[in-house]
This record gives sequence, structure tokens and C-alpha cells, in this order.
Amino acid sequence: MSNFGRKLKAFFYKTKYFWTKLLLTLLTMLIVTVLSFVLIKSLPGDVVHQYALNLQNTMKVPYEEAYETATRLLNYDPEQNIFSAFVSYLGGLMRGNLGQSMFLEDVTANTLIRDYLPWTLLVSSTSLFLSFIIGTGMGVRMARKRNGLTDTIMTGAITVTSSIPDYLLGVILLMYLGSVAGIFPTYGAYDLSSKGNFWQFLASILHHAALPIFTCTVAQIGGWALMAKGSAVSVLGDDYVNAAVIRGLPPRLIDRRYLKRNAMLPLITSLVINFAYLFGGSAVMESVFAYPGIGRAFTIYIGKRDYFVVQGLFVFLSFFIIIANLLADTVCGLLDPRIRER
Amino acid sequence: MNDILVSFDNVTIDYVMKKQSLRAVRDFSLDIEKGKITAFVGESGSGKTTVVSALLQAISSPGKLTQGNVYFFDGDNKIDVSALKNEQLRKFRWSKVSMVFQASQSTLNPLMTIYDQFYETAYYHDAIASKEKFDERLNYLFDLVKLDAKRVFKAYPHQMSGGMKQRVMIAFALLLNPDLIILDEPTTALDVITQKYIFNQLTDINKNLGKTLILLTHDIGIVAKVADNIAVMYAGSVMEYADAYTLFKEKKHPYTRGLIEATPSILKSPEEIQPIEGNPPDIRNLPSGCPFHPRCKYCMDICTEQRPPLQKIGDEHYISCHLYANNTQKL
Amino acid sequence: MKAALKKFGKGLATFFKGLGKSVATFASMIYGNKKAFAGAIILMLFVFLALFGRLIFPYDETTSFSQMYQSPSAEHILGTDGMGRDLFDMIIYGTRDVMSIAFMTALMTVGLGAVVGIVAGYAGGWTDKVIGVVLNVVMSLPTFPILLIMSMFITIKDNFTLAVILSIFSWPGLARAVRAQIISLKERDFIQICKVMGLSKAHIIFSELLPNIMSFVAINFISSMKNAITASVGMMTLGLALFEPTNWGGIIVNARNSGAFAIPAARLSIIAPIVTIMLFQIGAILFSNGLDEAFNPRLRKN
Repeated sequence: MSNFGRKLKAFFYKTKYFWTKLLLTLLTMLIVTVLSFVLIKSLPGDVVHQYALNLQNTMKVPYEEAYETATRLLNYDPEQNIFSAFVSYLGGLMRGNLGQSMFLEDVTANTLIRDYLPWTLLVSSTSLFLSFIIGTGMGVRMARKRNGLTDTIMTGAITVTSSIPDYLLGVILLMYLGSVAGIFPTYGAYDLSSKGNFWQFLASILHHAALPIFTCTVAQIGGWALMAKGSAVSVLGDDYVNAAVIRGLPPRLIDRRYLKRNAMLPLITSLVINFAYLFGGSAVMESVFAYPGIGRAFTIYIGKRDYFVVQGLFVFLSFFIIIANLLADTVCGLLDPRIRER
Repeated sequence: MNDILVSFDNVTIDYVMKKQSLRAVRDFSLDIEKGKITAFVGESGSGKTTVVSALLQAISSPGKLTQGNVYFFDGDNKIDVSALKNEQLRKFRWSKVSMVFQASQSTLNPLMTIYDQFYETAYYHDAIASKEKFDERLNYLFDLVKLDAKRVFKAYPHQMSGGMKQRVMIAFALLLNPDLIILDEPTTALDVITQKYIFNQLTDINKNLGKTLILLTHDIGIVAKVADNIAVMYAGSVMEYADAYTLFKEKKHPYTRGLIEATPSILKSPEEIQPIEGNPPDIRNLPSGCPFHPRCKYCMDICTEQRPPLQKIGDEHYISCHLYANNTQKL
Repeated sequence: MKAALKKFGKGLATFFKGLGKSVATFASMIYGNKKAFAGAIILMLFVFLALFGRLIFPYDETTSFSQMYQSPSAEHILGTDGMGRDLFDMIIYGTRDVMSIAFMTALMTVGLGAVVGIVAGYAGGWTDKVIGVVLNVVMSLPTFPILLIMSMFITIKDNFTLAVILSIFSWPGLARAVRAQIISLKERDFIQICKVMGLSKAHIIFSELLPNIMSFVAINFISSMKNAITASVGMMTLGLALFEPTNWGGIIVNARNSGAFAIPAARLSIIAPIVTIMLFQIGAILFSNGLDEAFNPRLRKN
């Protein structure tokens, strides 16, 4: 075998971890696509027919033409056999056509994503970031001062916050701070009247996002704190930290390179994995706050039985979560050499 | 009379806890000869690791040196190790005294390559003149312990076998050219062949590089082969100290005798092996007088009341036993 | 025929012996640890209420709008809900509903997960690899979107269906964890000794492996119940599952829908069920943390 061939083989072997994950990802994406296609195929009633009737009325065209337009817009023809239907569906996906609403002409899955996703990302990324920083800080402190009052208080706080489902906390906060005290708004992402002035608009956005962000942050802090504590405790007990001290390494260096780096590793892994779920948002949380995030869009359009749009949203969300998972695993593999070996 | 490298002077180490204080090492006084291999022999809990850690101020918490001092003789300089602080302590560690831990302990940072870890230690001891010189030295050290430098440089700890890791640790201990290397049960977790291999390397390091070694072990066999001087410890105190030949020949202290006679040998038949009766000491509840008296065949009344002091009974031969009080040999 | 029956009987006996051993080890662990014990008491209380609560606090279903949202009084300890029913009685009555959902979900999740995990871990080889791939794929599927989509086609009318839906996505996680435990146990000396002694596979699995993963399984069982409650109430909030008006989540949803926020006395309809949920969750957390400590000495405050 040529030298190049050998090097290539070695490269593939070393990055074996990555390729397996990639394969798994592609497989999962395929399954998701098939799943969504199958679901639509098994819809009750004749959806296309309904849509065609609709179009017939709005466009004032004969039925046959309406029907044809319907199948084209929806990228779905019940007449076709299942395989060619699937292929044309895939084709539509690749062209970026995620799904057309059956009721509102200018609404497609793409427009929904454009309009709703940013809000979800605003709330979930901010709360993930805040809860990570605060939570891990708490956790590390708890590990350093075990048995102290700090540890007991913090553990107690975490137990209480973990015992309430996040959206229910949202309900309580919304009820008292929103309805009763009127400090925070009870729905929407911003106040329509503030759209004129940029700063007012910004303030309004923050005002409306405050409760959702707060609730999501509090809900996640406990998890990070416990994880950080566990990790820090186990690293503190590890021999190599002590060995580093005996080797005469400066304490700051040990703190940084031996304690923090090793303790944070499983946490960074989790953090990256959690990024994947940012896109899904929390449909329930958004429903409680009537916040226009992608989860809420999903719920609304499911309620409307607007099948094709829902299908598009589903495929989009799923793909993002799956790809984000792949990225997360890759980053983890890069950070911790031990994972690559498995 | 040889040069003394280390002097333990009335060292007492206590484990200070909330409800009680346990005395792990009591009134320990010993001089370590330069250029020799001194072995500390004793069961687990005898205090050998504890007392030796004092040399690096690395007694595991909550242990504290409550009495006495540990002195290190660096040329003409007498350094009180127990009084070193912060930057001085940091510089002292590893450059004058280094340590090789038990093979089972994971003493390397799992997230750094071996090369990086060596480089880091050297760097923080201002021991890097240039990268080339450093690489040369590393190559030399790895050659000494018979490791393939190229392979090991880029490796992570989990990619190496136990024996390999132990050899890396030995190379690591030699990195800054310390005068003294402490080896804590260096081969206990390894197979016999690797054991022999490593001990060959250790004797080489002692003979060729002139390094003083302190060896901690419970294995009499190893000690017989390798050690120049032997200190037998029990319940935190020295029972007997002598050069290897004298110790094995005379085995004056009953505990020493018990240890040697309890060792299986291909020359003896199994029936001739005599285990030491009784149980290992409980440091929470030490026997009165001589700590060994409950298990001693030759126990006398005075043994239950008074602790025998450490006495010199020969040229570089010390013993702590009432049988030899005032140099009269009763046995 | 007789021989086969005998073998089956023997296997059954081994199974029960193993089960008994597991439960005994388990019980002693709980008793030993303060947290676990406290948690266990709280959980037992809820189980008790689920079983007998209805007898002790009879629930009057009659709706009466004149009694709507009464403040707490001697007659109605927590006041009344939007339709005039005693809130306290409703919560007690609903305990059975909630507990059965949680219990069924946990049972299915843990049952299926543990079985698959043990099989994969113990058998190894191709079986393990195939199961591994299946687990990986199911675990990479985005749960929530799928759940929402499914709700378009299946209306969840009864507790059992709800439990099934909830457990579908949780069991692979448990299977993977159990498999990891089994694999690490398999290599340990005492298992090797059993093999050398020629003990039957059934014995190894039930009498040796099972007791050792028991606390792990128990912790996961309780966590599963905890998650089931959160998830089921979430689904009720979104309108994805039908519910009884006495189900804790049901009380909350109904209250919200009928504008409970505005009426001071009505807020209790929202707070009370939430507090009840919190109590259960705290019991579950204490219990599983306590068990975890007992199992994992490093976590103890030493």
C-alpha cells in the first residue's frame, strides 16, 4: 500500500469516533424524514382535497387546476405511488421548501421559523448561559466548602428549585408578578406600541423576556450546580492533583490546569449537548408565557391541524437537534482524548 | 562515617480530627545516609508513608507535624524542611527531593500529553535553558528507563500500561536531578517480571547517578536484594535500624525476626513459616509500653509499662527493645 | 414435560430468592441513611393517600357555582375551585390518578429498560451491538417534536396510554445505564467465581447481578416517577392529553383556563396543587439522593 494510502487509513482510524457518529446522525435524519413523510401519508380525511377546495374559492379557478396547484404547493400528490412521492418530498426539502400552510397563503414553515425562532433562541440561550455560570460557580463553591453552612443552604435551595417543574414556576411567577403585581407583562415578546423607538423597543423586549429567562435560568441552575459539585469533588480527590502539588507547581497553575480543566470537562460536554436543545425551546414554557417562540408556533399550528407546516417545522427542529448533537459529540471528542479511544 | 543527607529529629505526626487526635508517628529520629538505598519496612499503617511525606511537607491531611523537625543537607546548607513556606517550599519540591508513587495511583494529568507534563514541571522550576537541551535531557531520561521517547512524548496517560507509566514516573522523578528520590511501594501493583526490571533500573540510578533512595515497602524479599540500610517500623516508631546484612544476620528485634521468619522461601518448607501472632495495631487504641508487646514472644513485665527508647547497640545499629537495654544482650 | 416444569419451577424460585435478597439489601440501605429514610416516608405517605385517601376524605363531585372560589374556611380547608368543589378533597382524590400515571410510566420505563440493559450487558457480542445501535438511534430522536406530532393523530384518553407515551422515550436512557452497570459488574471477581462454581445463568442474573443494581434501579424508578409527573402535567397544559378534573395538573389547567389569576381566592387552586407536586418531588429527591449517598460513599459529608 502506498504511503499516502496508509496515512489515509490511519486518519480514518483515528477519527473513527467521528465517522461513527456521523453515520448515526445520517441514519437518524433519514428515519426522521421517513417518519414525517409516513405521518403525513396517513392523515385522516382527504387533506389535499380540502386545500384544493379552499384554493378553488380564493383563486376562483376550476377544481382540477386548484387541485394541481394544491399538490404543487403542498409538494404532495396522493395519486403518486409512495416511492416517487417520497422522492419528490425529499426534492422539495432540499430546495428549501419546508411546507406551506393550508389556511394562510403567506405562511410557510420557513416564515414561521424566521418569525418565531429568534425569540426562542433569545430566551433559551440567555438562560442556558446564565444558569451555567451561576450553577457551576455554586457547585464549585459547594465542593470546596463541604459540611459548611454554605453547602447546606445551597443544597436546600437546589432541592426546592428542582422540585418544581419549570413551567409551573413560570405559572406562579406569572400569576404574582404578572397578573397581580403587574410588574411584568403576561404575554408576547414585546409591546407593539414601542416599535417606533429603537431603545423603547429594546427595553420592551427585555421586559417581556425577563420572566421567561428568569424561570428557565432558575430551573436549570440546580442541575449545573450538582454536576459541578460532583465533578469538582471527584477531581479534588484525585491523585494527580496532589502529585502536581508535590512536583512544586504553582498553586494558580494547579487550580487552572489540573482542577478546573478536569472538573469542567464533563460540564462542557453537557453544555454543548444542551445547546442542541436550545432550538426546541420549551413549548410548555412558551405556552405559559404566551411567548412567541418556535415551540409555541409548533403547538398553535398543530392545534390548527395545519399539517404541512407542522411537518416542515418538525423536520427542521429535528434536523437541528440531531446536527447539534453531532457537533456536541465532536467537540467532546476533541476536548477529552479518552473519549476518542472508545 | 558517611555523609548524612536527611535527618529526622524527634518527629511526631498527629492526625488532628474533630473528636480525637491520632498519633501516627511518634518520636521518630533517623539519619539517612547519602548515596545509599534506605528501606523503610513495615505493615500498612506503620507510619512509613506518613513520616517520609514530611520530607516534602506532603503529609496527607489532616496529618500535621506536631513535634520535631526534618532537616535536609544541601551541600553545606542545612534546610529545615518543616519550616519552608510558599515559594521556597515550591522550589525545594522536586528539585531536591522527588517521589515515585505506588503504581496503582494515577498521578498524571489525564488531559495532558507526557511531554507537556514534563515540560511544565521543568518550566516552573526555571530549568529550561532551551527547547533543544530540554528535549535532549528528556530523551536521555527515557532512554535510562528504557522507554521509546518518540512514542511516549505524544502519548496520554491512559494510553500506557502500568509498567510504562511507572517508568515514566521514575523518569519524571529524575527530571530536575534531585539528590533524593522517595519510592513508595513502586512495584506493588505490577507483575514480578516488571518488578525486577524496575528494581534493576533503580539500582542503576543509585550506583551510576549516585542518587540517594528511600524505599518504602512491606516486601522483605525486595528489601533483602536491594537495600543498603533498613529501618523496621511498627505502629509509628522505629523498632530496629541497621545495614541490610547486619539486620538479616542478627535480626535482634522480635518483630524483625518475626517478619523475616514469616517470609516464604523456596529453601524452607511451608511448615517452617512462622506468622506473627496477633493483630496489627489499632492506632486509636495503642497498647501501653512497647506497642509490639501483645504479639511478642519474649514479652516481659517492663514491656507492658515502659516504651523502650531507641538505643545504639552496634556500629550504625539501633534498636528499640527492652531485651537489649543497656546493651546487655538477653537473647 | 415434568423435567421442564421442574426446571421452570427452580428458575422461578431463584428469581424470587434474588428478588427477596434485592429488596432486603435495599431496605437496609434506606434505613441506614437519613435522607433516604425521610424521602421514603414522604413517598409512602403519598402511596397511602393514593390507596386510601378517598376513603378518609370523601370527595363530593357536585358542582355548584354559588360556591365558586370560596376562601379557605373550616368547612373547606383550602377553599373551593371554580366549580364549587372542595379543593383539599380534590387534591387527595386526585392523588390516585397522579400516582398511577407516575407508577405505570416508571414501571414500563424501568422494566423495559432494565430488561434490555441486562440482556445487552450480559449477553455481549452481536446482541449487544444490535441493541446498542437501536438505543443510539432512539436516543438521538428529538423527543418533544415527535411527541407533539403524535398528538395530532392519537388523542390520549386514558392514563395507561399516557404512561406508554411517556415511557417510550425514557427507556433507552435507562437501558444504556443498566447495561453499563452490568458490564462493569460482569468483570468483577465474584461473578467469575460464580461461573467457575458452575452456578446457573439464572442464579447469576437474579441472585448476584440483580441485587447489585437494585439501588441503581430504585433511584431511576423514583426519578422516572418524578419526570412522569412533570411531563404529564406539561402535556395537560398544552392540551395534548385529556385529564380528570381532580388530577393535580388538571386542577391547575382548569383554573388557568377559567381565569383564576384574577380572583384572589382562586389562586389557591393554582398554588395548592403546585405545592403538592413539590412535596412529592422533594420526597423523591431526598429518597434518591439519600440512596445515592448510601451507594456511593464518596458523596457523603465526610
